[in-house]
Amino acid sequence: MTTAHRRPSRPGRVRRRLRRPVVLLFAAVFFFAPLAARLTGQHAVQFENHALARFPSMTSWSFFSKFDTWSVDHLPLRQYAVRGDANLSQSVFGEVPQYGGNADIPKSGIGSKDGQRTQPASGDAQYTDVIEGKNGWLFFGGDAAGACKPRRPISQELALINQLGQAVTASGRQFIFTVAPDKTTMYPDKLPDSFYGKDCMLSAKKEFWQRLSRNPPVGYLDLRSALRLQQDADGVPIYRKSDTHWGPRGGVVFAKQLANRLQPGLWNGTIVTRHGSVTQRGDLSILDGRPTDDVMPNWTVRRPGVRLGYKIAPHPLAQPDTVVNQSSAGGAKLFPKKTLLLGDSFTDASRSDLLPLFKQVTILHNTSSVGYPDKLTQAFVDNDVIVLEVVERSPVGGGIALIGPKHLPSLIAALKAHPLH
Amino acid sequence: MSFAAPVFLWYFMPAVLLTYWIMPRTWRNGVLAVASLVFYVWGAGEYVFLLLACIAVNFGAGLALDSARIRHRRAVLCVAIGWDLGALLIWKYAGFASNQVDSISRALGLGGTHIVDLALPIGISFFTFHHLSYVIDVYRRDRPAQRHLLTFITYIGMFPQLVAGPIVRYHEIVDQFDDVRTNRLDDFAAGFPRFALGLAKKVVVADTIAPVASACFAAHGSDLTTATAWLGALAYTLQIYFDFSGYSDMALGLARMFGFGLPENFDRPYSSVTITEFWRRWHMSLSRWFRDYVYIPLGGNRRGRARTYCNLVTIFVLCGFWHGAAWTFLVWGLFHGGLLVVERVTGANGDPRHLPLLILRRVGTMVLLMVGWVFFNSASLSKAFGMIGAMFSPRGTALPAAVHATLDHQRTVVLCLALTALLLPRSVTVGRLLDHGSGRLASIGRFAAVAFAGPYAAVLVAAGTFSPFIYYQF
Repeated sequence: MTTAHRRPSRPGRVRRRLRRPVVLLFAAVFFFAPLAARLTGQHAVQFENHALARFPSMTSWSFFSKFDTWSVDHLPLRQYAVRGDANLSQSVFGEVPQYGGNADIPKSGIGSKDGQRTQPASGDAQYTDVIEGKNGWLFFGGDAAGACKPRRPISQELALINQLGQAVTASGRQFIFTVAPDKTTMYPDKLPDSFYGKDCMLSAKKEFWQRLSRNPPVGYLDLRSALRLQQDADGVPIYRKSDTHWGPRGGVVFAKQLANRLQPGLWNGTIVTRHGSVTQRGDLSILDGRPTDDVMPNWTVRRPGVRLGYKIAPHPLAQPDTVVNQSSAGGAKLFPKKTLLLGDSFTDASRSDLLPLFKQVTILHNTSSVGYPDKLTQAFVDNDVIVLEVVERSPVGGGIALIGPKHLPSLIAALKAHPLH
Repeated sequence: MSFAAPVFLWYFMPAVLLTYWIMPRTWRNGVLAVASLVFYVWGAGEYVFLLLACIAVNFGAGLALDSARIRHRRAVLCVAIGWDLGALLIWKYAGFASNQVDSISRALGLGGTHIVDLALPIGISFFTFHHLSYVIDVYRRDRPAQRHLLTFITYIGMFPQLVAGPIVRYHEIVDQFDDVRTNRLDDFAAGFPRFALGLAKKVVVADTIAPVASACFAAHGSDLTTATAWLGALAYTLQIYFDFSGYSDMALGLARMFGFGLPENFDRPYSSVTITEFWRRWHMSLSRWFRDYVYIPLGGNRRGRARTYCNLVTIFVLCGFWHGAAWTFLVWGLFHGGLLVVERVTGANGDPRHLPLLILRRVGTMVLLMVGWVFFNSASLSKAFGMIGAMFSPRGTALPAAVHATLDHQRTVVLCLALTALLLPRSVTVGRLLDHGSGRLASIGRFAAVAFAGPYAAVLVAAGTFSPFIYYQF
């Protein structure tokens, strides 16, 4: 019979007297620091670009799994842990940690969940969220992940966009399709010399831009050239260093190019001024765990004589939002046709420059709007001009939802059923 | 609920600790029992009823076995064992068995059969073995039956060891339930360094290395080079040790915080020079359990060589299947059982005296262990054999891009440090040093664990939950 296991014998009294307070202090801080922070008024903050989870209902077994999510979101001091870890990793190892990629061995601790085997990762964990470029430039890892593992081939994606464009024009409406270039396209020289997926990303991008230039979809408006020209003229980068988007100058370029395509002379009278600089938190630096701000020259568009129908420019959201502007006689012209502006975060970043161009414009998100298919279809039908802006990684990755099999047929059918006279 | 999850560290533990300190000392077992049930419900949901049913059956069986009025004690024991093994067989192995029946049926052209698909209750392997240990110890009259249901629940369900061990035999712990005179702050201070060490081993080392192992095991075709195969085997060898021993350290530390001493589970297993020695150092609680309740009842080594070898192989087949319901686990168990038999037959199960031979045997044992772990971690036997084939045939030294991408600076450093730690002298056992050591080295170790390792691990746990969206989710 094996001797029953005893608690270990206690150390000497003097050593215990010295050791105990130190260990107790650290242990208390370890377990109770978040609680103490909470009691002293420190609340959890939104720092991951999503709202904090709500406290779950206690009426089902899923309460426990949902409480896990709530408990993480509402854990005080967590943002400091993220930032501290990122800074520590950068200073010690010269690289930022890859969040979310760590495998958690299931609870048995012996490689399988008490018998259930976990499958080895397929390779997705190798694509980082943020690609750290040269001289502090950050790039979105999704540019590589999407390009290397596309959901649809580029040729098919462009063909479907063309199909949508043709359906719009066949219904008597005007269709404009434009692509906001990825930062990885605009600044390839700032990319690191090597990273996982670089070769397939560059190859996919090359194919995409070649196809666009040789056989563009109907209504295609090239922004890439105009952005590069403006950047060369200004002598400063037009995109932000720690953000995926262009800065204020890029929004102006977008607005001007669109205006010129919509109606010659529409841009006349628009006053573009630079005044001071603007500081904005870089979205890539948020993904990185080390939030930093970009300071860029501030450019604004003013259209004399135009009375805007809003105080704050609405965002492109899942449901349509329509604004009506007015122009006084002698003021800058407004585009007279009802326009649907379907865009993403690049349209969002440029909305203050875009919306004043129109007499009546409906702004809508090109991805989340598919969650409200009826409203999306109605927005197509209600407008005379459809402007579709997508960021480059969307068609390259084969991920534009509204041209997928679930939505495109019904859009085409609705356009056919409601032609413009 | 994992010990390395924020909800455990910063919601569950503070609540349990505060409750434990506020309540009278004599309520310790009750507090732990309730906390353990909450812990189990959190991770397993409605399967807590299965656990409670098993507890009820075994508690009742224990009382019956102790009762002078029961004549057929063996029958009671058989019913209890039947219940426990039945629960384990149904919930853990029915799916596997039905899959094999289906495969055979299809191979014979008889068409498919019904496949059982049951979710696996967390910790069922562990609490089943605890129940079996209890009823057998009571049957053997090693210990009287537990009269207090709460104490019995504390033994079976004690959350530090409920889902990942160590497997605590009833007679190893029963005497501690009545000892509530402990100084609770002393216990807390004594247990925390071990817990901090375990958390660091799991989060800082095992979780960091895991993507390297995963990427290597995912390689196939021309990507599965010799270098990839060896790197994957090595990475997984390190990962599983630091993960499992880290969990055990956390369990021992947590139990100690509440005044319980649990048995050690690891003793520098990779310093072994034979497979025989490895099983005296790896998952020791499981080895002891099988020895006491299966090997010795089968006759152990007292019925001749042939029977001994047969018993050894049987134990390891069962051990393999205990780890998981898959052929790869069976092969892993057979592999180890076979090696043990070979060592006995050849007399190579003793410690070599000469240093060169010692080094050679240690390296050789390590290679054998790594081969075994390839079976353990592979998704199928064909993948396992493919990887082992790549290890022992020349297929190039290049690492595929997917594997290379996982070897960032941090992972490479941690991999090297973990490997270095394994090469330390076998007398250096950090866990025991923290628990029982005296002198400057032990003090430095404890300070390092509580002031650096634990807090850094905590930062990683909190930071590891970071999952931002690139754009705000309206």
